[in-house]
Amino acid sequence: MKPARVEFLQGTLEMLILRTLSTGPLHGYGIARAIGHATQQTIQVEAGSLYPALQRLELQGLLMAKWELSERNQRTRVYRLTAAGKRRLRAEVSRWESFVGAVSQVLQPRPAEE
Amino acid sequence: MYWFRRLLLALPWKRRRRERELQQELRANLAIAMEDDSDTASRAFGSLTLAQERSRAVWSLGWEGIAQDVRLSLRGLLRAPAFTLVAIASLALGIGGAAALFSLVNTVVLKPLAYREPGRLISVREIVKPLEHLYPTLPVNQQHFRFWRENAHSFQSMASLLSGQDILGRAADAETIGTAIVTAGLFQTLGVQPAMGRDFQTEDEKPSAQAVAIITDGLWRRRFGASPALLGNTILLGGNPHVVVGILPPNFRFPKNGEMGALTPLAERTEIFLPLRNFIQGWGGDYDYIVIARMKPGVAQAQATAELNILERRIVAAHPDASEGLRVEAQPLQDVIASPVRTSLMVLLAAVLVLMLIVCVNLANLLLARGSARAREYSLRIALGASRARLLISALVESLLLSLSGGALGVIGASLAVNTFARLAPIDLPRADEAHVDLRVVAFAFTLSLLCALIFGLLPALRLAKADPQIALRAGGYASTGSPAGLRMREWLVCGEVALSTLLLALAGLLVGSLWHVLHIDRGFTDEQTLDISFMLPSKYRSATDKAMFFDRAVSSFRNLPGVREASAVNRPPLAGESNVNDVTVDGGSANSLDPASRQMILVNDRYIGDSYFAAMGIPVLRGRAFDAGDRNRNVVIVSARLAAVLFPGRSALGHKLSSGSSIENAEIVGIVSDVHTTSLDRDPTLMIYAPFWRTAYQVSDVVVRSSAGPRALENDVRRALQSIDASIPPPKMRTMQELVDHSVAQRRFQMNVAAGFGAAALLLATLGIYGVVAYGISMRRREIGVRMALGARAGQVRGMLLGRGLRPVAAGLVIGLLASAAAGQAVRGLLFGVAPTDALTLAAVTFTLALVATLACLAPAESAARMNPANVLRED
Repeated sequence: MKPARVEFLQGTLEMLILRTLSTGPLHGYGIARAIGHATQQTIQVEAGSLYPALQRLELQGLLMAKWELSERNQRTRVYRLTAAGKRRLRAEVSRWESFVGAVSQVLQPRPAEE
Repeated sequence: MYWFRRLLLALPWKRRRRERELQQELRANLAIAMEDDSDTASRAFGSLTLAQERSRAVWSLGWEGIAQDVRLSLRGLLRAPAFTLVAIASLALGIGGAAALFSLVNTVVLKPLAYREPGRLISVREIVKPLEHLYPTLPVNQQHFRFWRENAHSFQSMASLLSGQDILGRAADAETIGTAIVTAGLFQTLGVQPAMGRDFQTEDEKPSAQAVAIITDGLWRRRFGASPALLGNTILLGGNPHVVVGILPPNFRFPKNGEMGALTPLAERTEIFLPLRNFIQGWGGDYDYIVIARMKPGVAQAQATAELNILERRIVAAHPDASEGLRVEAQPLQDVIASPVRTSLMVLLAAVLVLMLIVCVNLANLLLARGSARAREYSLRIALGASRARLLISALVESLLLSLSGGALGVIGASLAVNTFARLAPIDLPRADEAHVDLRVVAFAFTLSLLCALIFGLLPALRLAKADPQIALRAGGYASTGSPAGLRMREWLVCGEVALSTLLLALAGLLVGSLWHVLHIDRGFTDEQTLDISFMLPSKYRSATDKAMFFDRAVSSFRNLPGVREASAVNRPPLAGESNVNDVTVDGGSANSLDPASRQMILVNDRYIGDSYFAAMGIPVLRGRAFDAGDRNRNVVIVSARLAAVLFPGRSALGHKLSSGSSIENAEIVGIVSDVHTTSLDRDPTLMIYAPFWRTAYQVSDVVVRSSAGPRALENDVRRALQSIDASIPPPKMRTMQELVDHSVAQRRFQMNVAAGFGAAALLLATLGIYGVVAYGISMRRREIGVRMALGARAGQVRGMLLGRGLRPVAAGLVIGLLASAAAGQAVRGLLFGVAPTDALTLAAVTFTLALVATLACLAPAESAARMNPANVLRED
């Protein structure tokens, strides 16, 4: 077995996928490319993580997939958000924001309270 | 929705389609990525194989691992056929035995009666204060029943009934049939409707009404070829025509003799029901009727009882001949039928579960032994990164496979055996013939199997999963065969096994002792070579004189049969139950005699006998004399020793006069005979008055014959002799007295046999367990023993040391088991007779047996160890 790579925080990749799809339908590689582009390649999503995550989200009914033609006329599977997916994205984003807020409060305590 | 989608993906074709789709998608996306020309991006995109594998994990329900475990375990079990066979066989025996017993308990105790809404059915009996010390409850007086039926509001319907027997048919094809004389509401109360024809109506009860009958499906098929034409036609019962108005459904069941409590004789098979048309009209005495009532929905039993008690008080107030302080006792019908055997069955069920536990402990022991051989495999798997939880599951899968296959075999065996089992069971086990393996029994066996797997599998599995990855690898090619901790655990298991075996053996011992005591009690008569012949005389023998003449002729013709030594008429032989129960007054006194100790009324059983009854039955005459031919016209009686002592404490009873019931008046006591057991051997003998039968011949029904030819050989002679007296008499029922004795102890014997079987099985398992552990312990110490012997230890010393170590857990188990037996003995006190729950002899015998067997089990491996050549052992490694 390979040593595990540093993983995303639980559920973070799913949130990024949902966010990326909220602007419009995309195929799998398109999602990875968009995330890489948006983070200036800081986050590179690998196929080994991306496709299982897509399967999971689809099973949960947050995504819908259809075979369609891509921008270069290739048949591929294209994902789009469902209503449940949109609801989940809003919930995840607000959870994330409060989490980040809390963490940064710990990392940068206000000097006034010393 | 999520789980539904996941479950859908468990379908193989759905799964295959999904796999194909994913592959196409990946291929398409790779193509896009390549065209994207940034090959750094496509390399970073990474392994597509990994993507596929991880996706599979998303779809998977986690079954694949288990399936693999099952395959591996199966392969492992097949590789050790001896172990597998022993394990499955012992589990099948244990679970099968438990399932068979449970199916009996299920039918007899747990399952409601086969009547509609059986929970609302109760049996009602009366508590009559002056008789309460002898009979806590009695059947019911018919007038009281009628008063309840008219005035009580708690009941939907109620019915009373009386058992009887009568001759069906005429002359050559006449047969004696069990009957029940019932009030009109019986079938309505039980919730049964005739399959054909009609139920009884109140008009049928009028003495002037046409005589009608309802018959069972069984009789209809057996005797009338299931002809529908029978309905509305007449049958000849007791010489009188009765119109058949109804035929009961095939699944109708009716209680048998002994099932409705004391003093309610019922036929073994009641096949004809007749309406009750006349009865003794008194408000006191004649407590004869079984009463069954159906409570209205929502009425509690306490409420119904309270209402009946109010009615009883009104009866006492209105009728001077009714007894003071009359009350009723109601019990659910199901409890009445099940209660005599409930304790016995529950104890046997508990015993079989203990045996089951021993089987489990034994298997745990075997698995531990196997485990030490497999420790290498497991430590290797741990070293390769398998999680301990996963290994625990793997190890448990093996136990589950064993216990489920054992359980399945057991259930199959039980379903085949339960009928035989029920047939072997005592005849008195109510409804045993209805026992069968149903869903509830299967569920019981399945749960038991799962439980077993956990009990015997968990400990070895935990040990395996804890295997240290390094030890096995470090030990090189030869897997470590065990550890001191493993041995200690197995010694504990032996200790538990011995304790449980002690418990079962002690129970078996106590039951064996009880049966021995019952059989060796002074029963007051000799059963050898005595045959009881029970007649049902046609109605032409109406008067006492007619009957007396018949019995005179029968007795004298039986006396002339080859081998016959004595013959005599009697109204009821010993052990056939109480009958003709009456009060007694002495020396012309007007008040009933009272027991000097309890100051309560004395009740006696009256027996009407011929002049050589005591000789035929082997009942010793203690004082005075037996009857002789000259007593025909004398007013004389003979009393039992107990009655003489109660009526005339410290004085001689001879010469006094007594009266009893309506048949014995101021008769002189001419003899005192030994006490005789009337109901069963484990109950005290009843008080008895014997009177010559000639004046009361209408009561008499039996002839007892003592023969040197052996009772069975006599039966044909008796039948032939009877033909020449009167061919119209239906074939009599013949039983040897030995059969009556056997019948009386049948339940006890059944109990004892089952418990003894369990005890023997427990002993065998414990022996195997002890042997296995001692041999294992010695195999671990071979080197040490070799060194000791090389240094000069003698064989005797080595043997003694190994024996001591081997017997240590046995001794501890024995002590625990003896303590537990003492406690368990108290719980089964009700089943014992003549032995205390902590009977020293029984416990000593159990201790001795176990110690002996355990020593033998230890000795075999110890002996071979003591004889080995130290030089060879030390060269082994």
